Amino acid sequence: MTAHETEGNWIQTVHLSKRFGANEAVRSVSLGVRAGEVHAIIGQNGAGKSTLMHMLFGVVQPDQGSIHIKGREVQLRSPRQAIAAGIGMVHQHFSLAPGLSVLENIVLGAEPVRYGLIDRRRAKERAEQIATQLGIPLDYDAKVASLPVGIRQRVEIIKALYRGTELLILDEPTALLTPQESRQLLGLLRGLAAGKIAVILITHKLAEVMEVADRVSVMRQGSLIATYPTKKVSERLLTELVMGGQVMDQVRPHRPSGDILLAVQRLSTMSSGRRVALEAIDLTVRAGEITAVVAAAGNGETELFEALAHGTEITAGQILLKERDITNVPLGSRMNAGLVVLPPDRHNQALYLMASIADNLRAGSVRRWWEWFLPPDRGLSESTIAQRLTEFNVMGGRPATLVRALSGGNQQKVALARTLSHAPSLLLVANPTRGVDIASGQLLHDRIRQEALRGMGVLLFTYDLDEALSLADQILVLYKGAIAGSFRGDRVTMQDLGAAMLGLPPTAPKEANG
Amino acid sequence: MNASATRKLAWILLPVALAAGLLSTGQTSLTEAASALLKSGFAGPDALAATVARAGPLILAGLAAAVSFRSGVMNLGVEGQVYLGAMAAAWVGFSHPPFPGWLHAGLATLLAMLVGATAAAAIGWIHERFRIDEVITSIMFNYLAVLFTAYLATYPLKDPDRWSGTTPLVLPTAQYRPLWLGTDLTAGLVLVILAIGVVLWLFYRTRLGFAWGLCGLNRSVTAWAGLPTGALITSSMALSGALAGLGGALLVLGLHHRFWAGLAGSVPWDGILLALLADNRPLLLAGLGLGLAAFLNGMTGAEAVTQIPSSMGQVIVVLFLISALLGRRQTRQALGQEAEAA
Repeated sequence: MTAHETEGNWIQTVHLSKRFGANEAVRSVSLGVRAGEVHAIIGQNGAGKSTLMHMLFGVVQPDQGSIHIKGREVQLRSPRQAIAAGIGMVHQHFSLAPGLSVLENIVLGAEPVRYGLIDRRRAKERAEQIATQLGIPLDYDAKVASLPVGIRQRVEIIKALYRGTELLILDEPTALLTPQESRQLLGLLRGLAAGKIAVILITHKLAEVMEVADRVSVMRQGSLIATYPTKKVSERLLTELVMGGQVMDQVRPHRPSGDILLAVQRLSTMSSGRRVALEAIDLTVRAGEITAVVAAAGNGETELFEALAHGTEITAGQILLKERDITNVPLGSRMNAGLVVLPPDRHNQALYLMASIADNLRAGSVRRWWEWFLPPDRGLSESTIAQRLTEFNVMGGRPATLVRALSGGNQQKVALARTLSHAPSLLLVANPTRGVDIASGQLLHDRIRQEALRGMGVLLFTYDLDEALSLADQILVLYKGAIAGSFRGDRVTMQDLGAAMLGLPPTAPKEANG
Repeated sequence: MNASATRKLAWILLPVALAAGLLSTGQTSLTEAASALLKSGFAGPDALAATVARAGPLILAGLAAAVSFRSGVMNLGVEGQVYLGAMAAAWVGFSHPPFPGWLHAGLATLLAMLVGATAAAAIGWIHERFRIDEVITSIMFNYLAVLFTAYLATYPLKDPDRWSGTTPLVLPTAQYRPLWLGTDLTAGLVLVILAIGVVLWLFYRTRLGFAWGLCGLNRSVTAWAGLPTGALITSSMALSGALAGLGGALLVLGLHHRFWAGLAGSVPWDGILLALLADNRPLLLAGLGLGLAAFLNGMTGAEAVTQIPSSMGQVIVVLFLISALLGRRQTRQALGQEAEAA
């Protein structure tokens, strides 16, 4: 590649390749990113996005090809060298020290020193300068542990800029954010680009790409398929490029439903600390029905989910599962009664990252005490598990594989496989496709639909309104701990939901009976 | 040989070299010192019997720690539970029982286990109920238990024929029967083997042991999987305390035949180190326990030749431990990197 081809790009990779064993993770990728642009990179899990970024950040060394920064070839042998070269990365899982303050985290490892001590004032001045330029107010003395995810992410970004970053790589930055936080972040990215910073945005959400990116590159099976200016492509074309000709998600027709499985009556909880009190929640889920609960973050959705799963802090009301009162029983007994739970946090609630897939599938309680002394495999032999992994299309997963070695989408498939292996009558699930690639997301949706067709009831908590609209027969909106709206899935628009989420009265008489 | 094996070997050779350096500072040559060490650790049936007998309490204390560590709670109160168990065994043992003599040793053992189990389960329950760190409560509990048993041995249960704070000799009916006369090998060895077997069975062949392991991996995920984490923690603490109490019973009924303050010496903490070293694997733990006992006995033999105090053995043990833990940390990091790249 000649010099003029790399001109104008802050960073340029030339025929970069990387292979792990038999797997060609990245194949001859030549990608250029300009200063002052937001460059989105999309592709399924395992398409090579992460490996490519790891090469740019010095975590992984390329087998072939070269990296050029401002026209000069560089060797990035470690993240330290990459940072020195002006590259910053915000990971999907943050690398902040939770026990330290915001300011301490920002300057950690790059502290201005005066008389051998950290010059807090100078540190704060510089951090503040960056933050004000971006229009982000920050409480510098707050402990990071006490901050919500969205704020922690901004701290990460400022931390990177504090080190003089000129290229900022964000790996699925909105995966863990609420819609509001996502919107703010996207605005922030535009601000960074306006400040002549090159931004690489890795994401699964095409709407974000269309909203914020100047250009978009599509990766598939390790190769860079195409790069387009965002203005010249449609979401549909991008989906086709990403999927490589696979089928698109279809909206499910509304079906008549069966008997009432779950009846929640006048359920109320206490508020404590930051937790919202639930006020007299009524809801029902019938056999074969998918009911979605949507809310803007912090309106009681976490509290309702936990009350249904664990009975946390219930002060009044009843939860009936198949006419059995399960209001005050532990989760194990609820599961024996036919409820299964797929919690929202894959890494702290749903899966043992450091255990094998087989052990994850075998985790579960017992009905009678003497069953504690039975063999732990629960009749799930290696071959049964392998079969289930094929069924759920868990790529790169054998029964003995550690879950942490899987991509997010495949981890979620394992989590759903475990949940459904209990042959449940009711599935309680939260944000099943958050941070999951499009193809895996579709598989997860399809599985949930199939189970519903066979008569399982589903109560789906989600921040993703598209997900609610494409799956649910019934959509409930939570606002300040109460149900602010109840809609039929096939007769509701995004606008109706949005209004209810903000506590506004419905624009048209579209409310239906639950 | 690949890089990781070389590194492992280096971590083993390092403390061996340090130990050799230490032994060569004595009044004899290194070879003489080493042969004296090996002789009194392993050579001949008597030395082997002494090693096995010494290993018993170490292994029980180690298993006690391993059972709690596996489920993610740190029972550092093994010491206190050993002392409570030892005192319970001694008390039943020297009392003239209102029951047939053939039950005596068994009942003394059972009470020792029960006392240890109750104490440890209480620590687990306090942890679950009030969210108080079990590391703190269990360490503080050691003071309570050690001082309380010392008080009992000094006042109400003191042997009136002796000056120091010891209890009377346990009756012959309560002593573990010798398996091999003239050595310290007793029926207690059977109990140790049984304990290893039970822990192995629980850990690898039952849902209970599997669920303990899940708690140890991630308690939050375990609770979301519908498992009763509180009951799991408390039960694992109870078994841990029972094993520690059994260790105390073995010290009294099998080896010393009476209780005195300070009777357990470094056994409980050595046991905790064994559990850490063996990564809670029972068989490896038993093997390391035998090795440690052989080494400590060997150092006593070497002392006679070299005049190096046998307590220097503890120093070498600690060096070995640090080295082994560092070595394991290294290999773990290497594994972690492989998993990242995959």
